[in-house]
Amino acid sequence: MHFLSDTPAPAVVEAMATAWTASGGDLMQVYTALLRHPAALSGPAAKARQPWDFLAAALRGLGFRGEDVMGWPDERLRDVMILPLRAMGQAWKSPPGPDGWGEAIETWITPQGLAERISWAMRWPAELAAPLPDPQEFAQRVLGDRAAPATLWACLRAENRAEGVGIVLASPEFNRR
Amino acid sequence: MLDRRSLLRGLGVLGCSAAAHPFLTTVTLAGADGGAPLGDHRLVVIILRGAMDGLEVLRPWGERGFAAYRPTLAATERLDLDGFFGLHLGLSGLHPFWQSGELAFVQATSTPYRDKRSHFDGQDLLEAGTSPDLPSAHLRDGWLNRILQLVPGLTSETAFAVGRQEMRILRGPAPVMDWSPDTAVNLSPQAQLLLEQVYQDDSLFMAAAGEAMMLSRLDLGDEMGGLAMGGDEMGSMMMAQTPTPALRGARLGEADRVADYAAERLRGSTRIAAFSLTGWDTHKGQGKGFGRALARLERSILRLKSGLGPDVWGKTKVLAMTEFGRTVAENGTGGTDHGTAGAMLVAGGAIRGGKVYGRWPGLAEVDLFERRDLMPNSDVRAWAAHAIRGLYGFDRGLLQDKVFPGLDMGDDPGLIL
Repeated sequence: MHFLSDTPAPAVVEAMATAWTASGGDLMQVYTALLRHPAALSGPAAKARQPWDFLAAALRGLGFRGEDVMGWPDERLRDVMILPLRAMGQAWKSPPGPDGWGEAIETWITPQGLAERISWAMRWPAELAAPLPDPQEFAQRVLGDRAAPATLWACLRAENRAEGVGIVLASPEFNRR
Repeated sequence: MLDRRSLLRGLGVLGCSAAAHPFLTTVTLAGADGGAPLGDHRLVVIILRGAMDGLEVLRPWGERGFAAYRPTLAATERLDLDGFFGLHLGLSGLHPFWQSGELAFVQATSTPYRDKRSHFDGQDLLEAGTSPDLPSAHLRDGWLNRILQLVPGLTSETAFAVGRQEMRILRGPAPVMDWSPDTAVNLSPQAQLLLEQVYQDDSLFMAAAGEAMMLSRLDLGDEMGGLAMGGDEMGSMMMAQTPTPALRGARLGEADRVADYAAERLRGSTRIAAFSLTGWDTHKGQGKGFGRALARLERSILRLKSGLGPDVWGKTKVLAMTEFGRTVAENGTGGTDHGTAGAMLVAGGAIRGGKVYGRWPGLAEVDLFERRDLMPNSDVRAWAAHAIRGLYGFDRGLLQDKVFPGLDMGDDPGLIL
């Protein structure tokens, strides 16, 4: 449910359950069954990247490494990461309860949440990355073969690189997984 | 409901407003189609985060010994309310409401939270509306959400959480809206058109973006100076109803935008709104910081009233509540520390105001809770429960079992008109 879909295919669940029973509860075996199942990699991207994953993937796509981000001054960390995380619904280290963050895609792709993602995508790449990547190359790098024709079409027609990159980061493909 | 055209329209509007204007602070709002299932009354809950000092807002001037507990804090001016209590000057803009019966206080009230004095736990309990002796599973829903769960046929528009602060009071299975007027999307016209294309095959993204644009459209009205009203009308109303000079011409702060946004929603189909005001944790040099927090509270209420208009304001009740009160004595640094009982502020056209509710416990040492805090004489949930009963007519048993499990509401204090 965390990795694949809010409603995973019964065949995958069964394969994992079988691995659990057969191995006497060896989690590595269960994960292997998940990852080896054809449905694991071929299914639709039915989950949302949670805000933290969204930001991490966006920053990595823009060429930042973890060390780079950790070296930022506090003010930049706050503006680029901490405040946006809260606005997107995932306040840093403050899950709503002991069972952690919500799983359903509808928890994350809300009007508020998506507006904040669009806002981040349109603003921060231009302020952080110099030079900005070419939007279409960027799309291919971060989306690979999941890039939708509409996204490739649109990012080419943006009036500047910053918006082109923003469109890629705001696209459904980038925000789904 | 949301089609491409409405998204496009929304995006177009956003383009004009977004650069200069942030989208949303988190106001939590709950609403209904035409408001039908809940009727016409409006409930606004403001969570005062940080533990508001009730004895500073509402000073028991007639109490012997009060001045001795607070040599510097109590030495400042106050506005007399009833001969016993005086109002902090930071709320002087609300004094006319006291005279017109649209402002009341509850003194010496608290949640069932005792002794531990943690803001987070105190706020969680206040918003959950439960008691610490219940299993923690009961803490998951907020009590405003549990009200919504009792009423079939509500839409997410019925209740709104406004602003960026998480509002656990509205969290739960019943659908609610969250929107923060400080959410800014800075999109060029071209980027708007392109995003519309990018989202058109993904109904979830299309709907979320379209709704975001509709919600943010209100901010444009705000930018132009008047939401659904004409700019001049709004301006003159504000001038007429806000005696605090600082309010006039002041740049809108986040708290103002939250209140304005909540008011606009409540003028429509929304019936319940919740938002937060922070800055009440005044351990040191209380005088100054407290004034700023009070100013935000005062402005929020003034703006709610002017934004709602006389008709809706007449059906509205505002409850401003905090997680706990503060120590009776001032500390060595001119502040106060975490205490127990505090005060609740109640405003609106639907209340019987001009009165301080609640039994006053006194300040003699034997009358204090643990010899340092104001003694709680009522459960803050009971006031909320009677308010809900008065506004929406819920059955007492339902309120005591489902909304505030384990609460004994006691007699109706008659706070609702």
